[in-house]
Amino acid sequence: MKKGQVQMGETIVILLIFIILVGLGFAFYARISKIQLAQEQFALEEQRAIQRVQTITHLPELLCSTDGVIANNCVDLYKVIANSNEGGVFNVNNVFYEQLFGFSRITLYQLSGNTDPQNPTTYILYTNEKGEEPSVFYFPVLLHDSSQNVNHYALLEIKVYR
Amino acid sequence: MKKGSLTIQFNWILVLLAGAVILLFFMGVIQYATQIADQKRNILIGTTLDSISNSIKSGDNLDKPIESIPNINVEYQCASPGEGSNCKCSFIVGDRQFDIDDPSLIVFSPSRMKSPKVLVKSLEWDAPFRTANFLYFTSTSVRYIFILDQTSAGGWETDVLNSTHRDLKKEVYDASETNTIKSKNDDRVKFIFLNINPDSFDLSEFESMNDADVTAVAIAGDEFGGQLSYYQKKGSTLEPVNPSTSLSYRGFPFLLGGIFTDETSDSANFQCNQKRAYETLHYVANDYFQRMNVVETIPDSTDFCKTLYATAKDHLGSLSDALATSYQSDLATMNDAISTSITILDDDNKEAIANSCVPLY
Repeated sequence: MKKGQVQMGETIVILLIFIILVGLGFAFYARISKIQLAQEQFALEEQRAIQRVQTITHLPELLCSTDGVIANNCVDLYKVIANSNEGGVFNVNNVFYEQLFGFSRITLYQLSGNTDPQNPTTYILYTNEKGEEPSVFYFPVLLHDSSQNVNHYALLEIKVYR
Repeated sequence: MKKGSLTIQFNWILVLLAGAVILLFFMGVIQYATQIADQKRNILIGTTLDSISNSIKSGDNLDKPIESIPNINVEYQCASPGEGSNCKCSFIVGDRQFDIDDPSLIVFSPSRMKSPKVLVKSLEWDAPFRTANFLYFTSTSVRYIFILDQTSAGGWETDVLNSTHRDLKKEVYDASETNTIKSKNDDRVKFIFLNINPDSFDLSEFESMNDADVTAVAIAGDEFGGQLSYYQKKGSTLEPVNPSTSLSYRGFPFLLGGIFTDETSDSANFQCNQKRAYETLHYVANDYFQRMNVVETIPDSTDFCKTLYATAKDHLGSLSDALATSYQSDLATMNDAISTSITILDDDNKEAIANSCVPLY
């Protein structure tokens, strides 16, 4: 083989190796970016779930109020009973509330003041479930009975589906 | 040509080609990385605004500046997606649009503002029961100039001035001293006329600014209700955005919303948010109506309470029905209906509390 051909062959091989190295580097970068993107997406979904929970726990349709002043961490018993019925505002207006709650399930467990202490009264307030594993959040709240002016202990369970 | 010089020339051509390919490749990588970085920044701003909106929505009367977002133009637009549905509002950052999916999130914002210092404030809206928290966005890139007749101004004008964002770029002038207002090379200027007619207002001092960057709102009314008229600079005068319409508002939170919103010939941001608020009120009123259905069944209620519950239920039903088609109703008519219902429900609630019945709200 002549000297010129050898030099050209060397140049081509060097170029090929360079391109392969750059390609490998790029593939590595793409892979890392993909992993980071998936992590960011997961964080974003978690953030969305928390935002939904925040919306639910501050909903005027559930919270107690005294002369219009909202009390935090307190839900109104009569609003809860009304909303756990078929004709409750969450069920009847599901198009509106689906935008607020997304795929979720909201349940309230009354922990005190039950007629049968062994069986806490359960109120299912909203249900629009999707088959995947949900993030579950629990909030201890007061359940206010304004006719007796008494508070009961209750647990608000919010399952948010991704 | 000799064989040696042919090889040298061929080598140079090869080197040039390879160099061009390598250069193009790296330029592509840089362009891709820049696009990704821009998109990431836009997403960051959008999600920041979204999460801030959600957290502020849950709190009462907050007033916080946001300084952690990159310097970029943020646009805000509301549009009706079609017949039979309410308005959809979005923040637009760069080429990305962030829809406000939560229909109960009522956001009043200028149609264009510049970060990095975005100001956010919230104010609760009771009608008469708590219905929503309104959010007011603006930025320090907008200069707000309030013009009022200080000799006859009452308490509500002071309330307006005291209720704006803490860090707002705000100036107050008496109607007689408007000739002292100077241009300060601002990004945007908004004039707010409180019970002052802006028709003969001279803008020659601001003539060098873009017409779109100088806007005004004239408020004719008080904290309970009135009319809003929007204006935009044209040359050295202010011209009504929509000469045939002034918008009706009801209550202080909407009055404040009118100040921080822009209405242009192709957007209806104030009207949209008023309709969104009324849609939320419709569902909350409906919720209180359903609650009264349960309250009515409480045993041992006195006859007086039973009658009161039935009356209150009728009033709640009327309020909810009046708002059922908020997206297609005339706002002025609806404002009147709401005002009447709110007064009646307030009286019902006072009566319920005074007579030891279950309060309405």
